[in-house]
Amino acid sequence: MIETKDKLFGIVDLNARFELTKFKPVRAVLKSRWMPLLPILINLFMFVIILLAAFTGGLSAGNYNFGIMIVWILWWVLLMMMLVPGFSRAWCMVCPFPIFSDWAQRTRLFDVKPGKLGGLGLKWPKKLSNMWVMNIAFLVTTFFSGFMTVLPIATFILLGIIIIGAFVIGLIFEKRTFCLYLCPVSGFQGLYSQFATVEVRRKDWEICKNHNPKTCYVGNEKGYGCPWNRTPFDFQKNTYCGMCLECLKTCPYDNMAINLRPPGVDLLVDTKREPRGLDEAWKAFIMLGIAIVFYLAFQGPWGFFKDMVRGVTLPGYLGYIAFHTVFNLLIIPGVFFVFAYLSKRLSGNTEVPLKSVFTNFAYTLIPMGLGVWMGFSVGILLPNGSYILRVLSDPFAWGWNLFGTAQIPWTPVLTGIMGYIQGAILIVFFAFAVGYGWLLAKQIYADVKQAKRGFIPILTFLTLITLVFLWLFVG
Amino acid sequence: MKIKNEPIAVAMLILGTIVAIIGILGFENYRRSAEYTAELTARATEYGNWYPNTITIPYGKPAKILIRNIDVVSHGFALPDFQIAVMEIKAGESAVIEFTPDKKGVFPFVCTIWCSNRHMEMRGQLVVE
Amino acid sequence: MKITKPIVIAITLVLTIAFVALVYFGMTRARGAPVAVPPLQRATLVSHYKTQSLDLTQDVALADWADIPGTAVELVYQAMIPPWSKGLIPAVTAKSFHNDTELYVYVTWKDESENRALGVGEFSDAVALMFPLSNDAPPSTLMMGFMGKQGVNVWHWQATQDTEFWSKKSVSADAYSDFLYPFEEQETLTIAKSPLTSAVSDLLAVKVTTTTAKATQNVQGRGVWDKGAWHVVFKRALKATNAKEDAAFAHGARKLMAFAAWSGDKGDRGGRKSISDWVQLEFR
Repeated sequence: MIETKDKLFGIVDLNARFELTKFKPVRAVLKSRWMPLLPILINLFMFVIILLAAFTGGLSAGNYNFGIMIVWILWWVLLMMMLVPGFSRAWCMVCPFPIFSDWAQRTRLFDVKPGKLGGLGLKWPKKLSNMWVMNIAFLVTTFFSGFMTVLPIATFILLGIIIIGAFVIGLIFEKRTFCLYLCPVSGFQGLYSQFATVEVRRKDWEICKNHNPKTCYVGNEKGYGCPWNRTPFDFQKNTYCGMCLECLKTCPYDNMAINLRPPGVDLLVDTKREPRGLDEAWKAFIMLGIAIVFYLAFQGPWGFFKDMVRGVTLPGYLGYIAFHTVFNLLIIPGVFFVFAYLSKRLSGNTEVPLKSVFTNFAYTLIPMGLGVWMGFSVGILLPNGSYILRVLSDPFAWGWNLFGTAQIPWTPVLTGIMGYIQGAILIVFFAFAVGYGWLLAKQIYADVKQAKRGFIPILTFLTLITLVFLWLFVG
Repeated sequence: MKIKNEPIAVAMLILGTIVAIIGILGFENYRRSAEYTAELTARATEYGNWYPNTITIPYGKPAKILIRNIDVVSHGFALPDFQIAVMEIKAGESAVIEFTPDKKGVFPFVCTIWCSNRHMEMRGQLVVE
Repeated sequence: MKITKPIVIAITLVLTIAFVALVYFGMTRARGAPVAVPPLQRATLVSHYKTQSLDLTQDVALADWADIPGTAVELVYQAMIPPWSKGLIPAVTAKSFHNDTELYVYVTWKDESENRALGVGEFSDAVALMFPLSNDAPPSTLMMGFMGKQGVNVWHWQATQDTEFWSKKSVSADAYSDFLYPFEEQETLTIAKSPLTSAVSDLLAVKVTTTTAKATQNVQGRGVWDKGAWHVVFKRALKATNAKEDAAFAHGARKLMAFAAWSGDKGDRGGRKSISDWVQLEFR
């Protein structure tokens, strides 16, 4: 844990932690090898149903398809509104996709087989050991968003590629290389989990310091060495911690803990081992940009743009791809760069490199982007949530009625005040962005005076983004 | 006796994947053949029309026909010779009609909603024998 | 088993091929069981050029139609807008010719009973031709002009009207019970009617329930029931009197048209009718 004197909003103690694993039953459950295997197996079954529904659904109406509804309404909304901001990478904990490569590497599903893992075990190139591949992978995935949310078979193809990709990459490269550097949904979870209110961390450094070999990294008979290639004894950011719980099992001193914490603490972490980087900055830009484009495409008033995204005509679709790419990779970062430049000029500081002003302040976009995405998710959930009840009862549109909810008509909920709910969420996260922005300004610049002046352009940028989205949400 | 968890986990994995897929498809196959006299898929003419285009049901016995609209637009079902209709089956929904045919012959059924430019061709035949 | 390079390559290949095959299979069945969809084929009614003209005041001149080839037009139940038809007239046969100034269309269909009178529970036999006013009308215009900006021109021949007009006989004992009642504006007494100018009502519609008699009635027609079949002839000037209301025809042109037929015996009236898909009318 980074000790910091700074308080968020001047009141929230960022060093405050509440250890959830101090309760014996909690720790016992988390140390069992059924955890998280059992939820993964249940989840695997869910995805088998999703895949089957998406496959048999073909090109039929997406709003009655279990695959589309569960993945793009329930899962996506849960991810953005609860899992990531609340529980960090809890999704990765229960994600079923890597189970096959884990099994192939370990040759065991439940037990722990000591010794070297199977598979070719190649190391992922150092140059790519960051978010860049995931940035591109996610951006490319969103090219097809207009199809995946409408055509069941498109969702099947996407999930199929991810599942096969995860397996094959797991055979070629070591451990969870796929999850770390390739999975399209891993990047934003990693980025936004820096804001999460939950963390997996080592408790007492003194214990780890004298513990050799470090079983959390190399594994022992209780569990495997960190599959995510972290060093559980000293990592400080949630970004690449997949919450697989192996380190809780392998630590003979019960020195690993799951803590509740104030949201966003990781934003202030910038160490040699876990530095802030342009890859994460761009991830933040891309996420913000995609939110804007998605909002305009799916909840906005412009039919022509929706038609472009849905590929009604090829030139229109290519136009969308070109605009989407340029907007996310160049325009948003470009605009932000202008504000970062102004920040440096205004601060009067000549020593701090512009690149680090740009990169560091980009982290304010993590709470900002998360707020925008939560607002967007509300805009998905409230109008379309009732479909979920339907598809649960009749997952394959075969005329089933498992829970008696198959006949529930489409019922939008609270759409009258939806804009205000979205607006309120946005303002809360704007506050977090400003709060952390100020703390970052103090980290970046030499003194409070410079920080104050340098923060003004960033505050302006955040305010503008918020106003744009308030205008979009509330109208 | 120590419980062996590994085989349990493997069994669960197989149960949740291969067995689940085969089980669901098998069950649905059985359910349809057991529950319905005939099954009809509604699609606009361009995408294949009523499928199958001719369905046969026995004379004098209660018939139960499952109609699934797998299209992205609404369809409807009308069997005028028996005064039977489902005014609208929305995209992705299914409907069931039940009646006892009291005459033999070949009877047309049609879509009741202007579903596409070739809506007028969206018709099929019910054979009662 | 140790996972080696060849094994990984083999697994990758097998999985990729299997997945592509599965997706291919899924795509071919993405809209259910694949079937070959025949291309749209509209029935064509050819209107040949002839120098002849027909005088309908005498009869329908059946002999003059005998040599002209006919086009069979399939009809289906009107089952889109309630009330739906209860009986089906499965088909009509149509013939047509034109001279320099006039268009003639002949329609015949089987009907075991001749229904020329109205009464309680008694309805008229009838046939109608429909032409979209716009030349690029979408197929959905078939629903009485639905979605066609200019609507449709309908020529509605009714056996009762034929009797009234040509035979000068009253057809209704006590009540007139057709859905069409276009004379409201001229009405002084509750059941007053304009003097008939034709056996055919020349109508306009822009969508269902908007059928309206035109101010000028330009279509003549006459029908005869003989040996279990109706024979009805329509006659109109090729040129439109008013381009906004009258379907326009010309030698060498093509025009969409549709048929509807009513069997009074089966309770057909108003929307209860048998209808055809669009038929291509070609002037040669």
